[in-house]
Amino acid sequence: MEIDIILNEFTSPQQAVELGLMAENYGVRGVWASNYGWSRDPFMALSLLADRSSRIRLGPMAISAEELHPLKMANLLFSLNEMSRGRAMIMVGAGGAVLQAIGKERGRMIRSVRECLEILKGSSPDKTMNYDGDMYKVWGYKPAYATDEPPLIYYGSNHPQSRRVAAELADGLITSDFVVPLMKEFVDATHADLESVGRSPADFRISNFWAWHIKEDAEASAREARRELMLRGWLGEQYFAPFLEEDEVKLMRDHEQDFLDAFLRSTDVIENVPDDLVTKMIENISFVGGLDKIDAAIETLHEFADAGLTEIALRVHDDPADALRLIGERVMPAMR
Amino acid sequence: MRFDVILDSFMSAPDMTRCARLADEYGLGGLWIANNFNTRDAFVNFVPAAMETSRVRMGPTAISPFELHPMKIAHSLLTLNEIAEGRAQIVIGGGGGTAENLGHKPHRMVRAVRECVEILNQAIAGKPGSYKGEMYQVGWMDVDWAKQPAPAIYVGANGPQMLRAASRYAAAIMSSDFTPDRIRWAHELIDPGLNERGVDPATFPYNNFWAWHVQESREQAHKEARIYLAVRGTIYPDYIRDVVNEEEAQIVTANESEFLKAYMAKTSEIKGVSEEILTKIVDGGVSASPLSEIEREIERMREFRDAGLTEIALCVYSNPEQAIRTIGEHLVPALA
Repeated sequence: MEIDIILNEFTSPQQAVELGLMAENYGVRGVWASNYGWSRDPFMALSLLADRSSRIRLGPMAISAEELHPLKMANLLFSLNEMSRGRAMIMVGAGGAVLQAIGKERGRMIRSVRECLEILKGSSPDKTMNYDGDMYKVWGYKPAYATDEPPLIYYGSNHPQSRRVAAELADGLITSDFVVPLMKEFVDATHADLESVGRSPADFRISNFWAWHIKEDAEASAREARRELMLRGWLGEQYFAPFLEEDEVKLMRDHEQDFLDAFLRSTDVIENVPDDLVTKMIENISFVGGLDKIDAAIETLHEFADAGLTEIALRVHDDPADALRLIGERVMPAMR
Repeated sequence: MRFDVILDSFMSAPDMTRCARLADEYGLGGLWIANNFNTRDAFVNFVPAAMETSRVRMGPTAISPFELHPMKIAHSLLTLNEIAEGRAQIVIGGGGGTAENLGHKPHRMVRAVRECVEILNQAIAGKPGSYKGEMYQVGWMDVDWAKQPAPAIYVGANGPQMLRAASRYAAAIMSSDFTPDRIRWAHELIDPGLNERGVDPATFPYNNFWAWHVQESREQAHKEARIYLAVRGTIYPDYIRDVVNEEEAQIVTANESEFLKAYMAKTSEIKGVSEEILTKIVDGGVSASPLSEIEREIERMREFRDAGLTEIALCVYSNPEQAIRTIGEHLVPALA
């Protein structure tokens, strides 16, 4: 299993170069740029790194066709791919924060991504594309410059319907916040989906977005993990049920607003929720704690690998260079 | 008078960077890329040029809010501006081929451009907040990472309605294919609006996209110019009488499709239109002098300046580096 890093949404193009080259030297497979309503353009944020790096893959996550027409997405992706000499990748999603920021609502999510994947995968420097979809049209598209090794196209998929579309059309899929038992089930189902459409699981990539909070300072790590907890599976029951009791899941759901308030106020104080429950949540759905937790994290990573992941995408938060150093020096050697 | 250059939309990033370095050395004001749906993304493609230059401004012309949501335009523009340390620029237009190739039909263009520019200005001002327009909404926008001097935002305006509207809010305007007389006509439309808001029309940044086909010989220059006449506004009914008489204009209009055929086939042979008429269009509607008669073009630039242009964007075709040298060596010093 290979390791990817997801840079935080505040990363500038210059920082992406520093972090990306550092990651490349550690043997990290790829870096992802987060796409938020308040972030820099994620393609642009990676463009300097694309030019200056030589091995590492790079791409934005997640981009929705509802926020960026697939043809515009294709030109951005192929431009980044050319600049990186065939190392670009992208995770297409149904749309989240950016969609809200531009005042749009999720509509026909699966249809939207399906058409987007068909356009991205169908674009060719040799053949003119005319695409007349329900949601998107493309007339006369032929990106003659897109002659590098094609970029990898992932679908951000946590559900059976999107998983089936990914198996049919994408190069891979990326789940988010799946714990190991969930991951195992999802990988098995993905392999079955692939076989049903005549594709070999060996040629398909499966990754999982996983939050990394481990720091030298265990308390700082816990504070960061608590602050971000709302974003872990958006507190969906299915993500927490494997390790929480029923009454704990109910308590969590009943206090969703308190988790959201903590995130919006950027604080680790989650009102009205017992500390022991919060601790149980962060310890099971992310990597958290001091340096003494790294060995356990490596063990979990091996379990993810055994579950069938081809790579995992570790989301770093505050002090990303410190996090990357720990991953590079401690995790990477253990995963080779 | 400031001289800009518009480069071929299909140019690769390394070629653009070479041109940008040259433009920087010769003291040109700005570099533009004409937006095209079949080409690399203009923002991404400018990144290496931004890194290797220090003075010249750069950006795409024209981007339409019908192809890219204004908040996405803001993110791309401000990220390029960050990399270029405050030298990004953009023309916002109301329509264009790209939107049509995405299957979008521009409507209420004047309103759309105004709302787009308002959103860009809000982003540039660095004030977090929302925007509720009739055509575009922003739920929340906060780009507090954008610390560089503001990018230059032009409104692409040719028609009377867009020109009048732009004069009431735009920081700069770019027209296309306007002759000196047409620039005077435009000033009659925009000056009242500029005066109303206390802006001096004499110093208001007013640019004009102008085709530059200056070559070693007159024959070469005219041959190249004729190929591209189909994409000059000059040959169409609203403008053709700027360069030919009424009878000739009717012949041109009756043979519009022949201009398009010549453009598609990249030939200078235009059936149905006499040599005399074609020569008048080329002589009056573009710069196509032989290098030995560069004084004629310098005089034309003086006419443009006297008509009220503060800058001009010369669209160069074959051998762009030579064109930049010619402009830098002859035009820049003559009108400094």
